[in-house]
Amino acid sequence: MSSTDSISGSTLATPVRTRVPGFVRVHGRSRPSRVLLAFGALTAAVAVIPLVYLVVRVIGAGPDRVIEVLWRARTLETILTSAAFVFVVTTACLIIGITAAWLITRTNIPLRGMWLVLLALPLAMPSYVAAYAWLAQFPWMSGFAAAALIMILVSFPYVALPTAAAFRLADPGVDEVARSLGRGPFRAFTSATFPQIWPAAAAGGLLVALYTLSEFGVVALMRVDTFTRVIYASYRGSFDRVSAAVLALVLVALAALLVWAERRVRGRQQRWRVAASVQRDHVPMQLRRGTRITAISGLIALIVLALGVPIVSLIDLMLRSTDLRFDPAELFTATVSSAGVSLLGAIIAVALALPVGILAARYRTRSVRGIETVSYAGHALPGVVVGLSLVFLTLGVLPFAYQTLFTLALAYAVLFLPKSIGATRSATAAVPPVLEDTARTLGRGPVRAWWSTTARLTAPGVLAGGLLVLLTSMKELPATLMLRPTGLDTLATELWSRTEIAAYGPAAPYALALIALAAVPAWLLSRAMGPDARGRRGTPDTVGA
Amino acid sequence: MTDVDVRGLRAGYPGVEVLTGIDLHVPAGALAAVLGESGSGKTTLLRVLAGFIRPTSGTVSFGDREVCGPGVFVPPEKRQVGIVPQEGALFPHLDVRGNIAFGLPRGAQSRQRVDEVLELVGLTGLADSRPQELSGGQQQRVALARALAPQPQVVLLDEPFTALDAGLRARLRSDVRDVLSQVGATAILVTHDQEEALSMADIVAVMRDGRLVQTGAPHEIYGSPVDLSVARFIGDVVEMPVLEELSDGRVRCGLGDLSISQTITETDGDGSKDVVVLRPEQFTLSTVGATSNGVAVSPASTANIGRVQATRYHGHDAMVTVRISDGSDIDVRVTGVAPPPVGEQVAIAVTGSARRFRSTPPHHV
Repeated sequence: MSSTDSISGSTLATPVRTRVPGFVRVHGRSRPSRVLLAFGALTAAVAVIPLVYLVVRVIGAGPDRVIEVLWRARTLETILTSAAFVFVVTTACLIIGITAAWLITRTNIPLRGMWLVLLALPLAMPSYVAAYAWLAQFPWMSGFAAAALIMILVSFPYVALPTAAAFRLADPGVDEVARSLGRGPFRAFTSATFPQIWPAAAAGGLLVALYTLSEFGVVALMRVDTFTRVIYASYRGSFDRVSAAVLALVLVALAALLVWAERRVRGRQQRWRVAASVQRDHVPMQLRRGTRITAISGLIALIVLALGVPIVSLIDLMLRSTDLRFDPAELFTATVSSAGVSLLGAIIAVALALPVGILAARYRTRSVRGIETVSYAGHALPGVVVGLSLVFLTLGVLPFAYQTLFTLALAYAVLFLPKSIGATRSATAAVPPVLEDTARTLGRGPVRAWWSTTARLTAPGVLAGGLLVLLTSMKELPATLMLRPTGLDTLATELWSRTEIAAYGPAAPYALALIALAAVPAWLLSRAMGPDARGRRGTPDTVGA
Repeated sequence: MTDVDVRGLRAGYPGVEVLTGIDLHVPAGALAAVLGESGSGKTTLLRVLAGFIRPTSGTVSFGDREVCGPGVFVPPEKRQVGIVPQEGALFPHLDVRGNIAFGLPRGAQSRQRVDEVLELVGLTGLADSRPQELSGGQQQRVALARALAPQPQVVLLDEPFTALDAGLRARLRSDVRDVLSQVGATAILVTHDQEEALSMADIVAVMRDGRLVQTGAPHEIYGSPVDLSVARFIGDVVEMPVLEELSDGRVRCGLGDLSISQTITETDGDGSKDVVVLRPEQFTLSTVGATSNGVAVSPASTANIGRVQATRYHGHDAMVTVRISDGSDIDVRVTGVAPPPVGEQVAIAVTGSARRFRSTPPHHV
């Protein structure tokens, strides 16, 4: 056993059973303390406040009213439009994403590393910024097809990146075995390789579906009547709160369905990994000259549409408009207010996430699982829904909190709590509990033992999660529009209000600032989803869009 | 029954020639082990045989069917070769039955065949398990069953046991050996583990830097290595410099006079090497003073008297390091029954003869 190629496999031969590896308490103290559970339950309660309040409102309206809203032609139309929109975008992302991933991992196209980076970059383009950049050049763009195009261009990396990773991770031996068992190259691909990458692609596709369903900025700018725009319109335009609430609940149900499906697929994908096999590079498929040129042209076209057009458009806007009427002080103010309220949101999110993250990393009891699942509610709650619910809640129950900084920060915390929990959980899981136990034996109480060991070691991860919440909150649009205190302008709302009145030039600096903000989470996300993610355990929902 | 014949095979990857001329003949039904360190090219050879790599020159024939040669290249799916990859490479999305039936046509007969090979590899009853539920050893058994199911002419095994722990490995080796001889397939096993090669194979081919340096039965390789590197690679050695060449085909070294079975002159050295090589089990020890136990202790020399420096005890045997009078250490393998304690004075006797390896600088050839 002296040679190096024997070392790699032996320790990894056991199948992966749990979703997050690391140090779970298996022996000894397998029950969490009551205090920790109580704090966790509090977090879960906060996370579902918006949902619960919506349900309460809908129930309060009475079944007749609900049925009446549901049976309206408008409702059916909204459902059909949303479903068609989600279907078109998701299907296109799957086709583009899988093809691109295959090209850059399994064929002989040149500069495969560069293509990988380019395919990840659209993640740094907030969807409504892309929509704005296109609109500024082509003001006639509007409607279903235009909105779908924008969504596809900003979302396909959610499929392409994990699929590329899966292509690389897929054991080349499996494909070879299929070949020697009598399958030709194409059939070996469909029967042996494709089943291995499909879970990754499907999970990515379901994320795309979820984000498309929750998308507000793009559909609003392109005037497509999906759920989010209809809900926002009925909140803005009428006092028909019941119909907004009912539609919001239907939206949440659909989103929850997608989240559930995504979890299932991703769980299966991880269980499928039989053994970490000795990593051998795939022999790239030699494309013929014509095919190769077509493939490269396709990739170039994709990148030009997803990155080139918006970036050139923004630069053009900056250069062209001599009368930018750009006020640096206004941009500064917007950035500071964005940052201020988002920081408050991030602090709330980190505080709420701590008990849940620790519980989820260390214990596997039923109550812990319940708390964790409920705390992830924000993942299935579109910004429009959280905004609407908190508007109702503050107006109906806590009028003094209506349109206050705190309510907006709370909305951010609820929406992005999953990111913070994910970060806390994986940071905690990476620290062996034996450290804390040792600190206990050296004479420290439970809290001090935690503080002097695990807390120190997990602080960077926990803070990174908080930073992620901060940056993501600064981009948030629909909930901000509904909940912001009068006079508070964030980067997102400034861009929005200028774009709405077709003041495209003056909006450009805000768009660039938003891209800069989005770059950090996008970078983290592409690291977590990308082909080098082997062994690292980021899941899309710990970072997210 | 199909033999495997490889002639003048050269292959590699763009820019690197990995195999630089391989000739190998494996008789029908035999198990050949290609033994080499990692990077020696053994896996490349296996991949050429399977059809995953197109060789640059040379021929490969299975029986009277040429699968690659000038103008001939049979793709993997048409070669009727079964492969057992390093870690099984089971299809993760299929259960055991689905894995094994993968290479079979659909139908009732296939179902029966799956049950047959499952029984053959000793996994009856696990047909509906998923690969993830199996232990490493079971996964390898399924991989073997999957390879054997379509009744291939040739079976290729790519270090199939390395990922397993020691106890499991030994059992699986002998089981695989039995299964292969039962089905009568010609098999080629690639490994870096000399013990595995010696214990499993009918023929061992030692590979180094892309060529086969020695091919033969296990005892030939072990007993008559063609050069010093092979001798060292294939097992433990005791090397002693030659001090003086004696007239009767014997040499004098630190341990006294030894008879030489063969002298091998290598031309790749700088001319400074001249050693005799023995295996640790060629020595026997006796306690000094108890000379009447039949072991010949030459009264004329005290060169073979030494003191035990260290003992590595393995249970069934023990390796005893003895420091002899000239200060060099000699490893001696003794049975595990009663190894001599450290510090004990012992006499060393030699069974059989030694091999002598000399080197001459290349320009002397």
